[in-house]
Amino acid sequence: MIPTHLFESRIHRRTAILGAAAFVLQGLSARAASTVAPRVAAIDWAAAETLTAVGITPIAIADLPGFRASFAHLPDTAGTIDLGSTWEPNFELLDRLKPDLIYLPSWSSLSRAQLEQIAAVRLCDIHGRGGDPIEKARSFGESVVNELTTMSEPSAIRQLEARLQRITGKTSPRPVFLLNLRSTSRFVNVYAAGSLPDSALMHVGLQNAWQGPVNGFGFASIGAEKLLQSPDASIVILNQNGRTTEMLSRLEHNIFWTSMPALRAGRVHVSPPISVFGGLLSATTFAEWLADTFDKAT
Amino acid sequence: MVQTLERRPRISSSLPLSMLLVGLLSLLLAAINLQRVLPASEWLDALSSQQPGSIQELLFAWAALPRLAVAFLCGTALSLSGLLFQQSLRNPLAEPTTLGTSAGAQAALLASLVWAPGLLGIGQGPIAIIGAALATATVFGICSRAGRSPISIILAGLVVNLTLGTICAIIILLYPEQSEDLAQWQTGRLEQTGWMPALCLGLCSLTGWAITAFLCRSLRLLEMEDAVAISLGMKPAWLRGISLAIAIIVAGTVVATIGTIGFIGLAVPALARALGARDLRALVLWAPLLGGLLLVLADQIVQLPAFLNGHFPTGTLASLLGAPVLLVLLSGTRSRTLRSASRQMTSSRLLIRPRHLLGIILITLVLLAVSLVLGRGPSGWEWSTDVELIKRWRLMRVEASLSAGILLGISGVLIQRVTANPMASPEVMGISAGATLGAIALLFVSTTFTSGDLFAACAIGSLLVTSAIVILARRANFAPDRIILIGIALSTIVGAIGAFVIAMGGPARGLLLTWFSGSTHRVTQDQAMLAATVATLAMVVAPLFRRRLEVLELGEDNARALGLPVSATRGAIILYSAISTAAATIIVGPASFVGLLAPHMVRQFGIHRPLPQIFASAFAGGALMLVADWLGRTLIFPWQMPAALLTALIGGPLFLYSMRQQR
Repeated sequence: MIPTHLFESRIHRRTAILGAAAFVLQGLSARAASTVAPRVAAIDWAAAETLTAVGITPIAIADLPGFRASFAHLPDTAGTIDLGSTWEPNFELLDRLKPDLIYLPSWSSLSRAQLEQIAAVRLCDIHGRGGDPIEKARSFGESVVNELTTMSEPSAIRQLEARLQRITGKTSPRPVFLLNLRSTSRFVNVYAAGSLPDSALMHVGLQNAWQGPVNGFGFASIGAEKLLQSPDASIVILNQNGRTTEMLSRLEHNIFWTSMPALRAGRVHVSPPISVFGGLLSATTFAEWLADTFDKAT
Repeated sequence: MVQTLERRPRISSSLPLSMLLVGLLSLLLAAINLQRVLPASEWLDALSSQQPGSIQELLFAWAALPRLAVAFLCGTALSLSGLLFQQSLRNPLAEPTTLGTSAGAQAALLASLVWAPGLLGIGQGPIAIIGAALATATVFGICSRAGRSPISIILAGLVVNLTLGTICAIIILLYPEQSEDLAQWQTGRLEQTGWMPALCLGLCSLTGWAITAFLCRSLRLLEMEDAVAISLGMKPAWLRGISLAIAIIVAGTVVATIGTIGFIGLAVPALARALGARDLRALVLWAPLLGGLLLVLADQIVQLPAFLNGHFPTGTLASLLGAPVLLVLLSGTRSRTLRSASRQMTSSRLLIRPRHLLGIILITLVLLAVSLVLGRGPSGWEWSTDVELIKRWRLMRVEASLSAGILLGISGVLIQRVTANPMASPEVMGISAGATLGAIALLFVSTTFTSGDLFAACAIGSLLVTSAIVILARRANFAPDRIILIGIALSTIVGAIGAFVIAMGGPARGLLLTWFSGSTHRVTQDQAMLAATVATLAMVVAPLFRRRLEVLELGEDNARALGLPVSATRGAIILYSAISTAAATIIVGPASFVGLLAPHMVRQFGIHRPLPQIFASAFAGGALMLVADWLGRTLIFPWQMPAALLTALIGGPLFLYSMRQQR
């Protein structure tokens, strides 16, 4: 059951975005008229994921090896060119690739003036700017669709929105820690307000057990003993493939960890591989897993 | 003089008293903090049970208590290590962080974390100790021919530190995800989740302490010249080897357990001496104790809820507190070690002739042309003919890096001359630290700044620090060693703050990392123009200092007798090089060390007279930076390596090699 008022407000927003997009489209009218795929470069990973999700393969992505490792669930980006590090993308190479549009993370807007010499720049503000990342990923996704696709069929973004809609508030409210394991058992990275995993957690109706300060990306490195501040909380370990497996096996021998109430009560869950710096697709996949896991765990 | 001749008790009463004070204070704070975890009445129960019953017991017995123990043991170990280094090298500035020991341990840990994470499962201790030993051995190996003169060891340590730091920075650049943990090590956080680290560290440092106490009588002989010790039937080489081994193992274990904590090894023995520990036996007894108690105190302060809610790293606080303490301590006693071996003018002098000049100009032109035209594109190496492309992306980087190198080369020569100290460099003076401070301040004030704002913030920061240095140093008549100490203290404080901000992560992390690694990536046309203007002005003004520098070289008294206003001259030269450094730092960051390397390279060629040295060093610095920037753009294309990282990476080993060849 979808509440109708939600639906309406979405339509409202979409018309607003359409208006904004129409303005943008003037610059790209030639492109929109032809059927040639737009040449888009992504310095932001969340933008790259969104683009791939709507069927546009970026011609270039910053830190491509890192992107491939974190976003293994995406279709292969075989023809894509590596732009160098996210923080210092290679301007000269990018200029020679002659893109039509560049997606830049808004926390890196220091490069904007230089990139605008190459092509039009769009900022992607899903991460590092506070606010609700899912909400931002949604509006960002729609802006991408409106600007770069012809909108003849229901877009991938709208499908993802529908999938998210289905699991809104599906679980009973419970406190959960979202953790990333480090190379030592002494510290963990905890994700909270402003991060994509936290946004997914809220979306399915769970609560974040970490209320302390976090950095601009919504996570903090804390001492493992701080997890005991809310002993009733469940723990979700964000999976980073091989590394997580190795860390987990090391924790088995640590009395501090094995004595944790969450572990004793079987309230520790290891997520499927997720990209914390992803967009709407990553958020939806993770939210569905959360809803599924905590639905069963009642 | 009379005082030293008097017979004094081995320790004055002020040492035990202040120890008692520190001890009581830290115990009080520890009790308050532990009480918050578990009521005092249940402490005994929690300790006696094998398995923790409640959450509070778990926190008390498996987190809070081990942390207390680790804090004490780390303080003890670092003080012991510092003391042993100082004793066996007869050098009051020796400690794990100045000799490259900690940096070696850290680099080894980072390398195994990224390339062989399986190794860490075996244990971080051995990896860290091997790294520490290798780095320290490198320092000694380089200085072996110099008879381990204090100045050369500190200088070699500095450069080894810098090179290892550069290697770490490159690993971070290439593997940002895997190396995130390094940031936590660098800030020195003491959180614990068990007794294992405390036990290992305790075993290691207490054994070390016991051996040191046992050897104490013999170790005192190391204070004498080696020949004297040998004539007394001792084997100073063996003794020195044993004590250095203990110092390295202990310091390496600390890095493996919690990371790097600076200044304890340097400040605590100095503090113990200042408080009245007169001889080695008193120092061996009291310094480790004092160090342990002080670190416990710092760690308990950090854990108070009122103090940033327990999120501030202990190591950062220790550095913030330790640097000023050290400054006060050292400014009271005149440290001669810093000034020794300064004027070793060799007789081989090179006369610069017109054809040399022609050669220099030719080389510069070739370098300029190559760095502008030769590059890599999507399909490999190529000579670019696209003038528009070169003008848009390469010209300002070439211009900016050349200017920055020239500026650093000039101010390096001037600072080394005016302070009569071959290890002085603009980077060491704290001016670059000021620029960094400006960048960090901007990060906290605004999240949406442009590169123009960043430029302005750095300029303001370095000018503020420069005026602070000039004001502070004026009181001391611009005494050279004072200026360097102020600089070292400032750089340490800024370094600690920077490491803390990097460890917090978030968008600021990337900016600070690139800032520290000094990249010309974001240089704009205007900034490049500004740097070029300052560099040109600097070259035009430099000849005005020629006579004054030559007179200053005759020594302070002679210079005064010849009618030179010594303080005013020094002040003017320092201001001049501060402005040059500020302009260069804004372009290539605080850690290129071109200001240190370029003058040394020039001296290797036998150029010693002031003016030729200034211009030769300007050329060397400019060329170094130019080549580094070009390599940075092409070497790992399409990725880029910051130019300053490369100058440090190439220049560091080159510098060490030439240092070894020199003697």
